[in-house]
Amino acid sequence: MAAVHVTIPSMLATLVGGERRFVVEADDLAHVVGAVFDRHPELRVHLLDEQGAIRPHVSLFHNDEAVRTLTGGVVDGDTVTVLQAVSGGCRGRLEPTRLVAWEVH
Amino acid sequence: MAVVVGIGTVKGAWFATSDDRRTWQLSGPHHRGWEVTTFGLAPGGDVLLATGSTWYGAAIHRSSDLERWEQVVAGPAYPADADRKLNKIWSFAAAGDRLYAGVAEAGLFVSTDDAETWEPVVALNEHETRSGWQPGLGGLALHRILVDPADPDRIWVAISAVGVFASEDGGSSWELRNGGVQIAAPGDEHDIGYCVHCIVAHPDDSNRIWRQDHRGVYRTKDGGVTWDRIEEGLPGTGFGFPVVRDPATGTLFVIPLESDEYRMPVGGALAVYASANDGDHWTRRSEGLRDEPSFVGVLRGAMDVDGLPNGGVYFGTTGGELWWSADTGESWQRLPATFPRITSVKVLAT
Repeated sequence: MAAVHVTIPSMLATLVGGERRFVVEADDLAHVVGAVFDRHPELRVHLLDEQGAIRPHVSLFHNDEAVRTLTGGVVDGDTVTVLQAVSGGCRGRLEPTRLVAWEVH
Repeated sequence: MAVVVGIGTVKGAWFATSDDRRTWQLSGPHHRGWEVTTFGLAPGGDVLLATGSTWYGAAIHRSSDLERWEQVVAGPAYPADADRKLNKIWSFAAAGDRLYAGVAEAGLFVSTDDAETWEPVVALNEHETRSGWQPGLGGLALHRILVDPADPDRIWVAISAVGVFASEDGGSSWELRNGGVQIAAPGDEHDIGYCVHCIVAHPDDSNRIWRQDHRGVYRTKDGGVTWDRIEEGLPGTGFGFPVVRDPATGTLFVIPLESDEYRMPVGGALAVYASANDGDHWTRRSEGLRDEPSFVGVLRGAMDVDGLPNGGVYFGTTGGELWWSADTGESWQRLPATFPRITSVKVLAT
């Protein structure tokens, strides 16, 4: 089993307690994704459609290679990165919910 | 008890809370960056919120305190061998321990375990007319669900641009109910192609339903078998999206837009029209709304009522304004905030 470093987009991380980066143990790419879903079952519907295909606007990178099918092996230290297919950057931290009150007369 | 209004937008949700409908507290954004398509209440009392995303699909989230949210893992989904995908959750409707969800691509799902797991309502989703179903501008969506409080086996759903379907047996069989409505998108050999935009029922007599349709405003007194046009006093062509009914006073509300081509307030003047006589006649109620020209729209899910005395009415615009009335639409005030495009307004507690 290889230790694979997984990164997910911040929008998805907000659904799983803010965890953007984590390590899973797996011996191929399909098992990596399976291990991600074991850890965070909420993510399945967001990465795969009902037919089990990677959603068309989700990009999955194995190290530096874009992949559309979950085939191929992994080795210790590999990275798997989930990206929005059309996306921009965000350097700031997500701000906590703000509470605001107004008097309206 | 406080009034809580959910405000769903293309970039997250906010909740406006008030004890007196004069002073409001606003919390949000919740689910920042996600399109929030609708809200609902689970039978167990949790607030439900649906997200949709071009990139990441649709999901339901639940909360007991409007702060901590948990995603429903086994939400509505079409079977793996289906030739369609679920891309948006449009509405919820509860009937005892049953909870329904209307979705796009058009379909109905039901949960009997407090929204934890969902099953498709096959008799509707695979209806004999299905092959002829065509989308409206907003997609092929089952966007409204009515359940008879006196007999939860009686259900009506609205699908754009297909029509109103009704079931008298808890969803085991369905028939079209669009008699008298002008068709919007003539299609195949089936009697479909009705672009229903919104429906609302009388709380004590579910056979009485009001309908904002692509082709005008209608009502039925026989559960949808026959519909009559009710547009006396309305400007424009009868086009619009929401229709709501204040249960406290029986007043109906619509927001007319200038035809399906333009979809803007008639004459550039944002106005609500109300009927206190079941739709026989409509009158303009716009005191307090903007005096300057306004070219925003109001989507079908973006208007609701609170049912309290002196009926509270709420609506959100595509320009991100949230308006409310605490006097049955006689006068309006705007929440002092500008939101992203508002997709859904729902009273969640009173």
